[in-house]
Amino acid sequence: MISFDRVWAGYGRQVVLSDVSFAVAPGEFVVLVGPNGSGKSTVLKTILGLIRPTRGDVQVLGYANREVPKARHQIGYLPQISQVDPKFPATTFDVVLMGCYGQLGLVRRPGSAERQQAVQSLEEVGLSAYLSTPFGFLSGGQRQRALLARALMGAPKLLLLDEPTTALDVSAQHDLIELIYKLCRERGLTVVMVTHDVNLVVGKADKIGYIKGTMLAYDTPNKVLDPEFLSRVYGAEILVVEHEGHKRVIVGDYHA
Amino acid sequence: MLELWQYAFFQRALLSAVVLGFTCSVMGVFIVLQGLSFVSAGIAHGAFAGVALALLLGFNPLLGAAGTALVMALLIGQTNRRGKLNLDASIGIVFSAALALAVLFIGLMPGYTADLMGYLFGNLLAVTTTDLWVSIVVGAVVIATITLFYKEFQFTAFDPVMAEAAGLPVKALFDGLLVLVSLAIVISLKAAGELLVIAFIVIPASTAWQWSNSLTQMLFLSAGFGVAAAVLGLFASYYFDIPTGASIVLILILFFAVSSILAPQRRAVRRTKGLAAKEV
Repeated sequence: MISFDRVWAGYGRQVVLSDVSFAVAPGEFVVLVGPNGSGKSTVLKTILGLIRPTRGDVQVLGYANREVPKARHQIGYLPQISQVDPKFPATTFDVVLMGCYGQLGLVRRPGSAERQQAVQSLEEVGLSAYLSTPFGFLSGGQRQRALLARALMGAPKLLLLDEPTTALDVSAQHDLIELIYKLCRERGLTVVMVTHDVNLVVGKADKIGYIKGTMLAYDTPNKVLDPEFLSRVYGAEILVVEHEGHKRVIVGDYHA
Repeated sequence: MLELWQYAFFQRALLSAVVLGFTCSVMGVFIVLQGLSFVSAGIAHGAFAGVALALLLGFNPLLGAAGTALVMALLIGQTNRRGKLNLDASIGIVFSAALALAVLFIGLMPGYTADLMGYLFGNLLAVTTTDLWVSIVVGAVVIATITLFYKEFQFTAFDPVMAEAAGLPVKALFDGLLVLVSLAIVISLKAAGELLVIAFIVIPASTAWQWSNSLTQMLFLSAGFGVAAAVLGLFASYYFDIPTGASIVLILILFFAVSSILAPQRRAVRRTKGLAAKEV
């Protein structure tokens, strides 16, 4: 589904990713974690073909290197909530409908099939009651669910999530992750998610990757959740505890 | 009132007010939503420098304005893409350069430059038949382009990163938007003036935003405010013998002030809190 083989990428002359290699199999739920500015979002942008690697080989949904942008129509993308202006005059339905604009191509307007699809997408994320509600009137959690509905338009095979829970309260974070996990398993979607909080996805991720300019580790959660290794990556004291069969990461002064 | 309609200059001015009010206020919606108001100011200064150059060298001022406005638009787009400067700073630089050139060209002109002052402050009552036809044709091109690429401009204004990820030509759309705003500014220069054309673009859209829950609603309201202010401003200008540009802008400001008091912003905040509380 996705393969990075010794990939180097960045912005202009600034190298953000160096020698990154990993592979994602169809149907896997992969989580990428790492400190701020470590290159997590750059991996997503490389998968989307928004950034072209300077070295190495990238394959996404059967498209390689220069051809990677052709895979975009099979990819759903959920950005950070801070990326969109909630004051923008658009209803929730308008926002979800935008999910089909890329597939429609230039000039062509969405028809009844696309509108029906947007209604279904909103139903799936539990927002059908908010169809004509202005997007800015929704809570943070509801807005992210609307953007998830937009990402699911056009039945993507791959879903990319860029810190989807940032700025949400704990309960909304949990609800959103549960919804994403449920929808992805139901649809057999492959997911690559970037997050700061590994605890949110420990019981759900098939693989966890640690990025800090390069891929420091990439394996199943049980293998990579090592306190010594994590402390080195984040530069802080980190403890890994086990609770109800799942590992949990605790950062900072956990003796207090 | 009726005797006014007999005058050809008034008929032209009225039609021109409607065309400019409509074109600039529709264009302004996308400018305001993307936080590009300062861009329109920069392009207007560039257009004025073009008028000064045309008058200095003796060719059609409209051509001079169009040439420099388009160069300004493309320069701003390019500088922004280089990524080393904020859009804000790059407009500031291009803006200052255009103003310096305008002052230089004015300095090189011999004697009093009454024509140039007309472009600085604008006068709808001085619009000629040719000016009117140019406005109608260029305005129609601007509106047709916006209508044609409505969904693309909407997506890019709301979420440019996602629009690019979806495969839309975001950079070309940004440049296209700057070209369209340049055209809208050029056709408004003689009627509204370089100093006031920015208000023609920014204020109707900002007023409409306060009342709108969807982009379509904002576009229609903005067009309504723009046309109403232009027409009312023209009558005010005639009856009170005041400059047209100033009277139009003051009416736009009045619309904005009244909207700031009456628009349902406070209710919107309350509704937002109510909906958030109901979240499951």
